[in-house]
Amino acid sequence: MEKHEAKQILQAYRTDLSEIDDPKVGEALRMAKENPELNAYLDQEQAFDRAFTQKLKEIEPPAGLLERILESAPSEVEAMPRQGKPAKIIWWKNPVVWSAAACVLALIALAAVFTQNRAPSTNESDWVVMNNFAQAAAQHSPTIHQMDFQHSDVSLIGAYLDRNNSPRPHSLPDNMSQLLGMGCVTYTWENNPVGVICLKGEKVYNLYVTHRGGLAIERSQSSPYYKQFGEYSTALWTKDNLIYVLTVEGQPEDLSPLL
Amino acid sequence: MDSPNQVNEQLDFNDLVKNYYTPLFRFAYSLAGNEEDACDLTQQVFYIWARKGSSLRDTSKVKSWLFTTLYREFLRVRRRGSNMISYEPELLETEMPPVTPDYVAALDAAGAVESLAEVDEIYRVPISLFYLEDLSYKEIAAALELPIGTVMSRLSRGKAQLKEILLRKEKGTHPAARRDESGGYKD
Repeated sequence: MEKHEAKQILQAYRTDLSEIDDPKVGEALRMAKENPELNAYLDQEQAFDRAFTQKLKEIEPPAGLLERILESAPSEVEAMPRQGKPAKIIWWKNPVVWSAAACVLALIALAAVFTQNRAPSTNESDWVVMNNFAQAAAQHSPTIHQMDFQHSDVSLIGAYLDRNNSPRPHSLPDNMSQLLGMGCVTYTWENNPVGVICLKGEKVYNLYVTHRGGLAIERSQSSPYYKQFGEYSTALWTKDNLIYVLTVEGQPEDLSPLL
Repeated sequence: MDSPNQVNEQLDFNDLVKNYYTPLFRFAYSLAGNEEDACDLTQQVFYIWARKGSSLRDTSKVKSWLFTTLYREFLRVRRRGSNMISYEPELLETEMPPVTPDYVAALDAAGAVESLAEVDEIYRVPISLFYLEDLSYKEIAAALELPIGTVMSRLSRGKAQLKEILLRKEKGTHPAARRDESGGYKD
């Protein structure tokens, strides 16, 4: 490791970073022990960090904020059980039970809608999973700050996803390939890797890609299926071994010209 | 039958607010840069908790949940107020300018926040969480939904910016005045 690289790691060093099993951090610390210049650099950084932390911790909330927060809280605030000591809650008073029941009913209703409006599936649970994936994508909507990599060149974004073993489209539909790249995000959903390519045209579009196999999806959906979740619209389709969800803050009509 | 100590075993809303409103306010202040918006953000986080907090099953993640929610609220408010998208700026200088801890110690807290507010937002968020020390490195990465390596590189760049801002204030000059023609720093 070069000295400048070690310095970059050392300037972001905090003791709890040692808990993270990163060989580069270990190497930078070892270099700091052996090299007096790096050692002094680390000391200087730590002194600066301590001084700045101390300054931020001198900030005190203004008088009255505590009372303002407590007074503004809804009256039906639920108590939270302390860690490791779950409180007993009578099941029919538990909002989680009611929420779960509502979700089950909603999913049944959703499945009913799908079966009425779409071709019957060989496996109805596939629809539920795909719907959940589309909904999760609509709710994810990364900001520019959350992107792992930012670039306007979509091919470089694809290369980044490849390097990080993230799923990515084999190819983009023609109209979508005209859009400017913004960047990408990688994350996991239900323990499955998801690659997100963020594109910019008249609006910002996010293309989510994951493996069908990971979600145990047998069903194919060659034409886009549109669905709105709150302020976001989604289009879902499958191709080869991948599931795609394109999202936009807007109407389904904003998506269809791209597909 | 419920235990007579059950009430004591519950983390009630008042306790939660009393335990966390100060660190959350500090984080909000470092993001927003002014007291009024920081108060609004802090209040909003507890309001959201009051409405949705019971759905959090893992009580060990309450603190992370509160900080993450505050950050998301900050982004939401910012997004509503401006259509501007800030891209990650390129860092021209990688070598950090020296800033003495004595100078930082001589600042007041408002001065520290004022300097922090000048750091690009993309770096300011991880720096604030880093210095406030309320969240572990892993928790910061989770809250920002970023890999730890990205958090580290943003911290590194953000600290360089922060030091340059502090140095500018210390010297009373613009940083450009301290660079020679080759882009390096003059002694």
